[in-house]
Amino acid sequence: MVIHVPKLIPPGGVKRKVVVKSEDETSEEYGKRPSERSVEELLDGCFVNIDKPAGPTSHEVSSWVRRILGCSKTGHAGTLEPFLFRF
Amino acid sequence: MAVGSATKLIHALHIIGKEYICVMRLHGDVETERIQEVCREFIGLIYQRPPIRSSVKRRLRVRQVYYLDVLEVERRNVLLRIGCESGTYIRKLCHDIGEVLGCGAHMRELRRTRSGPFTEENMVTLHDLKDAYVFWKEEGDETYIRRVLLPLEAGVQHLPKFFVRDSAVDAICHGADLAIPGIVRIEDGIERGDIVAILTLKGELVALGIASMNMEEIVREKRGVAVKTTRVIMSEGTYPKLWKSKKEKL
Repeated sequence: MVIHVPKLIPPGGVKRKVVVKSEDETSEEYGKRPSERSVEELLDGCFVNIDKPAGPTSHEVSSWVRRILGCSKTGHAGTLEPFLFRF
Repeated sequence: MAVGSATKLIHALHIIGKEYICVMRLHGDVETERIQEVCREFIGLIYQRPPIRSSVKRRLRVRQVYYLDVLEVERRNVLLRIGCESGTYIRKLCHDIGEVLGCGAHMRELRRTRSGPFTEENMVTLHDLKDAYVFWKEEGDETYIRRVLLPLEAGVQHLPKFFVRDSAVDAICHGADLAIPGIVRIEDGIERGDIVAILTLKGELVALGIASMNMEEIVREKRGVAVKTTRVIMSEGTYPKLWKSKKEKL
Protein backbone atom coordinates (compact mmCIF):
# COMPACT_ATOMS: atom_id res chain seq x y z
CA MET A 1 0.00 0.00 0.00
CA VAL A 2 1.27 3.44 -0.85
CA ILE A 3 0.84 6.05 1.85
CA HIS A 4 0.51 9.57 0.50
CA VAL A 5 1.95 12.36 2.59
CA PRO A 6 -0.16 15.47 2.06
CA LYS A 7 1.59 18.18 0.09
CA LEU A 8 2.87 21.08 2.20
CA ILE A 9 1.68 24.59 1.41
CA PRO A 10 3.90 27.70 1.87
CA PRO A 11 2.76 30.39 4.35
CA GLY A 12 1.31 32.65 1.66
CA GLY A 13 -0.80 29.86 0.14
CA VAL A 14 -1.00 28.91 -3.52
CA LYS A 15 -2.99 30.61 -6.32
CA ARG A 16 -5.36 28.15 -7.98
CA LYS A 17 -7.56 28.40 -11.04
CA VAL A 18 -11.09 27.02 -11.04
CA VAL A 19 -11.97 24.37 -13.62
CA VAL A 20 -15.61 23.71 -14.52
CA LYS A 21 -16.46 20.01 -14.64
CA SER A 22 -20.20 20.33 -15.23
CA GLU A 23 -22.95 22.95 -15.08
CA ASP A 24 -25.40 23.16 -12.21
CA GLU A 25 -27.10 25.75 -10.05
CA THR A 26 -27.86 25.82 -6.36
CA SER A 27 -31.36 26.14 -4.96
CA GLU A 28 -32.12 28.98 -2.52
CA GLU A 29 -34.60 26.73 -0.67
CA TYR A 30 -31.96 25.22 1.58
CA GLY A 31 -28.48 25.96 2.82
CA LYS A 32 -27.11 29.41 3.59
CA ARG A 33 -24.14 31.42 2.35
CA PRO A 34 -21.45 31.75 5.04
CA SER A 35 -21.91 35.55 5.09
CA GLU A 36 -25.64 35.18 5.86
CA ARG A 37 -25.18 33.11 9.03
CA SER A 38 -26.52 34.45 12.33
CA VAL A 39 -24.18 35.05 15.26
CA GLU A 40 -25.59 31.96 17.02
CA GLU A 41 -24.83 29.85 13.95
CA LEU A 42 -21.32 31.30 13.79
CA LEU A 43 -20.74 30.36 17.43
CA ASP A 44 -21.45 26.71 16.54
CA GLY A 45 -18.38 26.72 14.37
CA CYS A 46 -15.94 29.53 13.66
CA PHE A 47 -12.38 30.75 14.04
CA VAL A 48 -11.14 33.61 16.20
CA ASN A 49 -7.72 34.99 15.38
CA ILE A 50 -6.47 35.83 18.87
CA ASP A 51 -3.49 38.08 19.54
CA LYS A 52 -2.12 36.04 22.39
CA PRO A 53 -0.08 38.00 24.94
CA ALA A 54 3.27 36.62 26.11
CA GLY A 55 2.81 34.77 29.38
CA PRO A 56 -0.26 32.56 29.48
CA THR A 57 -0.11 29.32 27.50
CA SER A 58 -2.22 28.62 24.43
CA HIS A 59 -4.12 26.10 26.49
CA GLU A 60 -5.06 28.73 29.08
CA VAL A 61 -6.08 31.23 26.42
CA SER A 62 -8.16 28.51 24.81
CA SER A 63 -10.15 28.02 28.00
CA TRP A 64 -10.66 31.80 28.39
CA VAL A 65 -12.07 32.06 24.90
CA ARG A 66 -14.38 29.18 25.73
CA ARG A 67 -15.56 31.04 28.83
CA ILE A 68 -16.02 34.40 27.08
CA LEU A 69 -18.07 32.88 24.28
CA GLY A 70 -19.90 30.42 26.52
CA CYS A 71 -19.33 27.55 24.12
CA SER A 72 -18.45 23.95 24.85
CA LYS A 73 -15.46 23.33 22.59
CA THR A 74 -12.39 25.30 21.63
CA GLY A 75 -8.99 24.30 20.36
CA HIS A 76 -5.85 26.07 19.26
CA ALA A 77 -3.25 25.59 16.59
CA GLY A 78 -0.58 27.47 18.47
CA THR A 79 3.16 27.23 18.42
CA LEU A 80 5.22 24.64 20.23
CA GLU A 81 6.76 27.39 22.36
CA PRO A 82 5.21 27.62 25.79
CA PHE A 83 5.79 31.26 26.66
CA LEU A 84 5.79 33.47 23.58
CA PHE A 85 3.48 35.48 21.35
CA ARG A 86 1.14 33.70 19.04
CA PHE A 87 -1.86 34.46 16.85
CA MET B 1 -8.51 29.65 17.92
CA ALA B 2 -11.15 27.26 16.69
CA VAL B 3 -14.62 27.33 18.26
CA GLY B 4 -17.17 24.49 18.20
CA SER B 5 -17.15 22.30 15.10
CA ALA B 6 -14.18 24.30 13.72
CA THR B 7 -11.95 22.24 16.06
CA LYS B 8 -12.35 19.43 13.53
CA LEU B 9 -10.45 21.55 11.01
CA ILE B 10 -7.32 22.16 13.07
CA HIS B 11 -5.42 19.21 11.65
CA ALA B 12 -5.84 20.69 8.15
CA LEU B 13 -3.95 23.80 9.31
CA HIS B 14 -0.85 21.74 10.01
CA ILE B 15 0.08 21.40 6.36
CA ILE B 16 0.36 25.13 5.81
CA GLY B 17 3.51 27.11 6.53
CA LYS B 18 3.82 29.66 9.33
CA GLU B 19 5.47 33.07 9.39
CA TYR B 20 7.32 34.48 12.37
CA ILE B 21 9.15 37.65 13.33
CA CYS B 22 11.92 36.95 15.75
CA VAL B 23 14.73 38.70 17.60
CA MET B 24 17.94 36.69 17.70
CA ARG B 25 20.66 37.67 20.15
CA LEU B 26 24.22 36.85 19.11
CA HIS B 27 26.83 35.96 21.72
CA GLY B 28 29.62 37.72 19.85
CA ASP B 29 30.22 40.44 17.27
CA VAL B 30 29.69 39.33 13.68
CA GLU B 31 29.64 41.37 10.48
CA THR B 32 26.23 41.91 8.91
CA GLU B 33 27.29 40.33 5.60
CA ARG B 34 28.34 37.17 7.40
CA ILE B 35 25.00 36.96 9.21
CA GLN B 36 23.11 37.32 5.92
CA GLU B 37 25.31 34.71 4.28
CA VAL B 38 24.72 32.15 7.05
CA CYS B 39 20.98 32.85 7.15
CA ARG B 40 20.77 32.15 3.41
CA GLU B 41 22.19 28.69 4.07
CA PHE B 42 19.23 27.92 6.30
CA ILE B 43 16.69 28.35 3.49
CA GLY B 44 15.36 25.07 2.08
CA LEU B 45 15.30 21.73 3.83
CA ILE B 46 16.98 21.73 7.23
CA TYR B 47 17.65 19.06 9.83
CA GLN B 48 16.50 19.90 13.30
CA ARG B 49 16.54 18.14 16.64
CA PRO B 50 13.79 19.62 18.88
CA PRO B 51 15.17 21.53 21.91
CA ILE B 52 15.35 20.00 25.42
CA ARG B 53 12.24 21.84 26.50
CA SER B 54 9.89 20.84 23.73
CA SER B 55 6.43 19.46 23.14
CA VAL B 56 7.46 16.59 20.86
CA LYS B 57 9.78 13.60 20.87
CA ARG B 58 13.40 14.71 20.50
CA ARG B 59 14.48 13.00 17.35
CA LEU B 60 16.02 14.52 14.25
CA ARG B 61 13.39 15.95 11.91
CA VAL B 62 13.48 17.51 8.48
CA ARG B 63 11.73 20.83 8.09
CA GLN B 64 11.24 23.20 5.18
CA VAL B 65 12.26 26.87 5.53
CA TYR B 66 10.61 28.89 2.74
CA TYR B 67 12.30 32.19 3.44
CA LEU B 68 14.55 33.71 6.09
CA ASP B 69 15.03 37.47 5.78
CA VAL B 70 17.41 39.53 7.90
CA LEU B 71 15.34 42.68 8.45
CA GLU B 72 17.64 44.59 10.77
CA VAL B 73 20.92 44.19 12.60
CA GLU B 74 21.51 46.35 15.63
CA ARG B 75 24.81 45.30 17.22
CA ARG B 76 24.16 41.81 18.60
CA ASN B 77 20.42 41.85 18.02
CA VAL B 78 19.19 40.50 14.72
CA LEU B 79 15.60 40.89 13.53
CA LEU B 80 14.47 38.01 11.34
CA ARG B 81 11.38 37.20 9.32
CA ILE B 82 10.95 33.47 8.85
CA GLY B 83 8.52 31.50 6.73
CA CYS B 84 8.67 27.83 7.61
CA GLU B 85 6.84 24.55 7.81
CA SER B 86 4.60 23.83 10.76
CA GLY B 87 6.59 22.20 13.56
CA THR B 88 9.85 24.10 13.04
CA TYR B 89 11.39 25.27 16.29
CA ILE B 90 12.53 28.88 15.82
CA ARG B 91 14.35 28.75 19.16
CA LYS B 92 16.44 25.88 17.84
CA LEU B 93 16.87 27.55 14.45
CA CYS B 94 18.44 30.62 16.17
CA HIS B 95 20.66 28.32 18.21
CA ASP B 96 21.81 26.51 15.07
CA ILE B 97 22.49 29.78 13.20
CA GLY B 98 24.64 30.78 16.18
CA GLU B 99 26.58 27.51 15.96
CA VAL B 100 27.36 28.07 12.29
CA LEU B 101 28.37 31.68 12.96
CA GLY B 102 30.73 30.30 15.60
CA CYS B 103 29.76 32.72 18.35
CA GLY B 104 26.50 31.14 19.50
CA ALA B 105 23.06 32.78 19.62
CA HIS B 106 19.68 32.46 21.23
CA MET B 107 16.14 33.58 20.56
CA ARG B 108 15.05 36.60 22.58
CA GLU B 109 11.57 37.26 21.30
CA LEU B 110 9.19 35.59 18.92
CA ARG B 111 5.87 36.52 17.39
CA ARG B 112 3.86 34.53 14.93
CA THR B 113 2.64 36.84 12.19
CA ARG B 114 0.88 34.40 9.93
CA SER B 115 -0.57 30.93 10.00
CA GLY B 116 -2.08 30.26 6.60
CA PRO B 117 -5.19 32.39 6.22
CA PHE B 118 -4.79 33.96 9.65
CA THR B 119 -2.65 37.10 9.57
CA GLU B 120 -1.96 40.01 11.89
CA GLU B 121 -4.60 42.05 10.06
CA ASN B 122 -7.60 40.10 11.32
CA MET B 123 -6.16 39.55 14.79
CA VAL B 124 -8.03 40.58 17.96
CA THR B 125 -7.07 40.68 21.64
CA LEU B 126 -8.97 38.80 24.35
CA HIS B 127 -10.32 42.17 25.54
CA ASP B 128 -11.71 42.93 22.07
CA LEU B 129 -13.36 39.52 22.04
CA LYS B 130 -14.97 40.06 25.43
CA ASP B 131 -16.19 43.56 24.46
CA ALA B 132 -17.60 42.35 21.15
CA TYR B 133 -19.44 39.53 22.90
CA VAL B 134 -20.92 41.82 25.56
CA PHE B 135 -22.03 44.39 22.94
CA TRP B 136 -23.88 41.64 21.12
CA LYS B 137 -25.31 39.80 24.16
CA GLU B 138 -26.40 42.83 26.19
CA GLU B 139 -27.04 45.52 23.61
CA GLY B 140 -27.89 43.46 20.55
CA ASP B 141 -25.17 45.11 18.48
CA GLU B 142 -23.79 42.53 16.05
CA THR B 143 -21.24 44.73 14.25
CA TYR B 144 -18.26 43.91 16.45
CA ILE B 145 -18.86 40.22 17.08
CA ARG B 146 -19.29 39.66 13.33
CA ARG B 147 -15.89 41.20 12.71
CA VAL B 148 -14.31 38.84 15.26
CA LEU B 149 -15.93 35.50 14.43
CA LEU B 150 -14.52 34.20 11.16
CA PRO B 151 -16.67 31.59 9.39
CA LEU B 152 -15.46 27.98 9.27
CA GLU B 153 -14.56 28.43 5.63
CA ALA B 154 -11.76 30.86 6.59
CA GLY B 155 -9.84 27.88 7.94
CA VAL B 156 -9.82 25.97 4.64
CA GLN B 157 -8.92 28.82 2.28
CA HIS B 158 -5.50 27.26 1.70
CA LEU B 159 -6.84 23.84 0.64
CA PRO B 160 -7.76 22.87 -2.93
CA LYS B 161 -11.54 23.00 -3.23
CA PHE B 162 -14.25 20.87 -4.79
CA PHE B 163 -17.64 22.49 -5.40
CA VAL B 164 -20.46 19.95 -5.51
CA ARG B 165 -24.10 19.74 -6.59
CA ASP B 166 -26.88 20.29 -4.05
CA SER B 167 -27.99 16.69 -4.68
CA ALA B 168 -24.62 15.29 -3.55
CA VAL B 169 -24.39 17.29 -0.31
CA ASP B 170 -26.55 15.24 2.04
CA ALA B 171 -24.94 11.94 0.99
CA ILE B 172 -21.53 13.38 1.91
CA CYS B 173 -22.97 14.62 5.23
CA HIS B 174 -23.86 10.98 5.92
CA GLY B 175 -20.24 9.99 5.24
CA ALA B 176 -20.35 9.03 1.57
CA ASP B 177 -17.32 9.63 -0.65
CA LEU B 178 -17.53 12.20 -3.42
CA ALA B 179 -18.00 10.62 -6.85
CA ILE B 180 -17.28 12.32 -10.18
CA PRO B 181 -20.93 13.03 -11.18
CA GLY B 182 -21.39 15.16 -8.06
CA ILE B 183 -18.63 17.61 -8.97
CA VAL B 184 -19.46 20.98 -10.55
CA ARG B 185 -16.18 22.89 -10.22
CA ILE B 186 -12.69 22.06 -8.97
CA GLU B 187 -9.48 23.97 -8.44
CA ASP B 188 -6.52 22.98 -10.59
CA GLY B 189 -3.31 21.31 -9.48
CA ILE B 190 -4.97 18.64 -7.35
CA GLU B 191 -2.90 15.52 -6.84
CA ARG B 192 -3.83 12.15 -5.41
CA GLY B 193 -3.32 12.17 -1.63
CA ASP B 194 -3.93 15.93 -1.16
CA ILE B 195 -6.16 17.11 1.66
CA VAL B 196 -9.07 18.87 -0.03
CA ALA B 197 -12.19 20.78 1.04
CA ILE B 198 -15.66 19.92 -0.27
CA LEU B 199 -17.97 22.95 -0.54
CA THR B 200 -21.50 23.61 -1.76
CA LEU B 201 -22.19 26.00 -4.64
CA LYS B 202 -23.11 28.56 -1.97
CA GLY B 203 -19.61 28.24 -0.55
CA GLU B 204 -20.50 26.37 2.65
CA LEU B 205 -18.01 23.80 3.89
CA VAL B 206 -19.42 20.26 3.78
CA ALA B 207 -16.44 18.06 4.60
CA LEU B 208 -12.72 17.46 4.30
CA GLY B 209 -11.34 14.56 2.34
CA ILE B 210 -8.35 13.04 0.60
CA ALA B 211 -8.25 13.24 -3.19
CA SER B 212 -8.11 9.75 -4.72
CA MET B 213 -7.57 10.97 -8.27
CA ASN B 214 -5.30 13.48 -9.96
CA MET B 215 -6.68 16.60 -11.56
CA GLU B 216 -6.40 15.16 -15.11
CA GLU B 217 -8.23 11.98 -14.13
CA ILE B 218 -11.07 13.94 -12.57
CA VAL B 219 -11.49 16.03 -15.72
CA ARG B 220 -11.35 12.96 -17.97
CA GLU B 221 -13.34 10.33 -16.06
CA LYS B 222 -17.13 10.07 -16.06
CA ARG B 223 -17.47 7.97 -12.89
CA GLY B 224 -15.61 6.75 -9.85
CA VAL B 225 -14.69 8.14 -6.44
CA ALA B 226 -12.73 11.40 -6.63
CA VAL B 227 -12.49 12.22 -2.92
CA LYS B 228 -12.51 9.95 0.13
CA THR B 229 -14.43 11.78 2.84
CA THR B 230 -12.45 11.95 6.09
CA ARG B 231 -14.11 14.64 8.21
CA VAL B 232 -17.74 15.71 7.91
CA ILE B 233 -18.46 19.26 9.12
CA MET B 234 -21.98 20.06 7.92
CA SER B 235 -24.83 18.44 9.85
CA GLU B 236 -27.10 15.91 8.16
CA GLY B 237 -30.38 17.25 6.83
CA THR B 238 -29.08 20.73 5.94
CA TYR B 239 -29.68 19.78 2.30
CA PRO B 240 -32.44 17.38 1.18
CA LYS B 241 -31.74 13.68 0.88
CA LEU B 242 -31.89 12.85 -2.82
CA TRP B 243 -30.44 9.35 -2.84
CA LYS B 244 -32.38 6.13 -2.43
CA SER B 245 -31.57 3.45 0.11
CA LYS B 246 -31.70 -0.23 -0.88
CA LYS B 247 -35.00 -0.67 0.93
CA GLU B 248 -36.70 2.11 -1.04
CA LYS B 249 -35.54 0.65 -4.35
CA LEU B 250 -37.27 -2.66 -3.58
